[in-house]
Amino acid sequence: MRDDDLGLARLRVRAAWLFLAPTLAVLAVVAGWPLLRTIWFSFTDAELIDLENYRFIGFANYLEYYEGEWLGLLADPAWWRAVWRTVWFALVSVSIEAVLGMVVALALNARFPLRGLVRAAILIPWAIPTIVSARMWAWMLNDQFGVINHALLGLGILSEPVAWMADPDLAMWAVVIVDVWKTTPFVALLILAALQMLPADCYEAARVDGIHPVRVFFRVTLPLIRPALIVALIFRALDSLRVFDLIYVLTANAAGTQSMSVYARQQLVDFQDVGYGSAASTLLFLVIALLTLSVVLLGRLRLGGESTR
Amino acid sequence: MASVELRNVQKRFDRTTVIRDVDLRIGDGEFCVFVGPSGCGKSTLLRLVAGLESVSAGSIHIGGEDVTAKPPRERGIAMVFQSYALYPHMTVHQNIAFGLEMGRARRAEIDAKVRAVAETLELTPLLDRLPKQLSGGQRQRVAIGRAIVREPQVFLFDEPLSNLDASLRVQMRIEIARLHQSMRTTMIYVTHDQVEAMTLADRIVVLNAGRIEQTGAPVELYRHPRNLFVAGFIGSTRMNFLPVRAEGSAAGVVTVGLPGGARLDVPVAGAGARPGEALTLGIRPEHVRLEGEGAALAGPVEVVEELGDEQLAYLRAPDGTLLTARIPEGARLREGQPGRFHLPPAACHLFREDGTALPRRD
Repeated sequence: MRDDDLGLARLRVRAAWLFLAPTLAVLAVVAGWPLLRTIWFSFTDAELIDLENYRFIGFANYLEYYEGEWLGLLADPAWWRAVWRTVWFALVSVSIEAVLGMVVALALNARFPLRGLVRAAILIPWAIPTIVSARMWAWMLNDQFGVINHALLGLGILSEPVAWMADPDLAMWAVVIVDVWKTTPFVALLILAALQMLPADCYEAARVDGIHPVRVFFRVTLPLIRPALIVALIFRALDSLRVFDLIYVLTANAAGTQSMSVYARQQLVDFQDVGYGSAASTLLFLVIALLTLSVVLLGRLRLGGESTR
Repeated sequence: MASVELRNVQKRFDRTTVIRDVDLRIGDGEFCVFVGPSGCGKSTLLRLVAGLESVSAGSIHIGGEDVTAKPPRERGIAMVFQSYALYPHMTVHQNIAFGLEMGRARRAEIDAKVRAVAETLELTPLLDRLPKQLSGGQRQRVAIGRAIVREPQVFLFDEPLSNLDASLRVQMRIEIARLHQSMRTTMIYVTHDQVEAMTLADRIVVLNAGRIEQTGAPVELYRHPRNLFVAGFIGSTRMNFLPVRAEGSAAGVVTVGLPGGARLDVPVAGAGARPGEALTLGIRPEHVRLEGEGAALAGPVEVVEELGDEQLAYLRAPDGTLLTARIPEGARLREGQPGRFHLPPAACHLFREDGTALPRRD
């Protein structure tokens, strides 16, 4: 008996590896190899124009003491500004998306006429490619021809046109607004899916017991959808820490709105400094990995652990 | 404690009428059971009393007060759901206390109440557990505890035992009966299980297709079913029905011809039947005898089911009807052999073609 069981278990493990093999192979080629190559380049002085000839220079791209001065990425104030700006962007946009996503999901979970149509319509911003929606918003926010200035002027809220993208603070808020507009549907969709899994009879019990709906929301709904909410927020946080296309389309390389990704691209492509750009990319990777890890640990999210039911 | 009164209550969902003109008065402290097949509207009727659904017409009164337009929390009710409806992320203690925290009661007061209820239901050692760590019976007790702790005027039970296995169901049934004896609160209990209805109820309401077929004490429904539906529904082994023809009618007696030619004088109260009228004769399997008085039906015994203390024998009557008899163990009936079922006249029921019963004498 025992031998048979073990044989069966071994057979299952072998089958599992067999099914996983294609995925692992593809991951190794499209994720593992570029990642390792980027990390390797970050220790070299490679340049984009000639990737064949480079020297290993150790941690010089990260930090180096040279003729009485600290040099390298970790000593570059522009890099640190990009880091804090990106983290600020992630915190602000993901918080707004969580609240709005919850409101939208609760609304879509209620019963009303044409609910199916509204559920489909709300997904449109999420379905549009970021490049397209960023371009669209760039036009809408244009200081001279933009519909937003036109409308605000017409309503008398503004007395003169605002150059939304010229002021770095305003520009970052514009980026946040566009990001919220685009990705709230995603958060709402994940929360809606969780809401639909909730046990309906608990709500009837709460109604019979006369518990106020607001209290039911905070004491019953929120704890029960917390796992789904945290998954949605981790997805969103990872996305927004990597934010690139939105900012690049809206404000190009403007120093006042650079995110970590935009900074890395500028070093790597515009300045041709593959070594330095790779170092920035590697740090970006580490920052995201650390933040994710701490969120998972702090949220005590048992990924793959026991369910709530 | 309070009485519950339903006056001409109707409920429609879109164009389907689920409850038709239900008129019912449930006395203070009464244990009333709604019973009927699935889809008969019994759960809907309970939800109307609870206020989870609104009536389409008619009115509902609890404790003499019209609550038709009131939300559930103002009706003084507590409900136990079929699926228990416990909050999965709260401990037993939190589940029981959750409904109390609204009332601005102090923490110590709430805790005392929760512990008292837990004590009666033997839940004290489980207070810190989550619902998923409990067995079905324990969860059901928590759900009942959550209802008790609110000290409602009326308890509503929606098929509370149907998710439990058979032995646990009997045990919980006894606990609920004991609970009613000690609390003396009005209880309305919905079930599709007529055994639960018979054992628990002071009064049974038999529902069918949104209508009340009959209301009465369990024994009354058992002895004097008003129509074919109630006769077939009440009784743990279904009543046998045989098509017969009235051959004569004297004072208090209707003579019917059985399939196979035998005649039977069935005692009735009041008016009899017209000679020649097509009737349905009903007799419960536990009243069928293998020998003794009364006319007999002969035919092959098709199946004998052994239940240990007794047997269920199935006999094919001359007209093709399959008759069931509950007979004591050791009766010498063999499958495939001819047999005779005797029908004691006093145990027989007669029904007219429209399904209504001829009143019985006893």
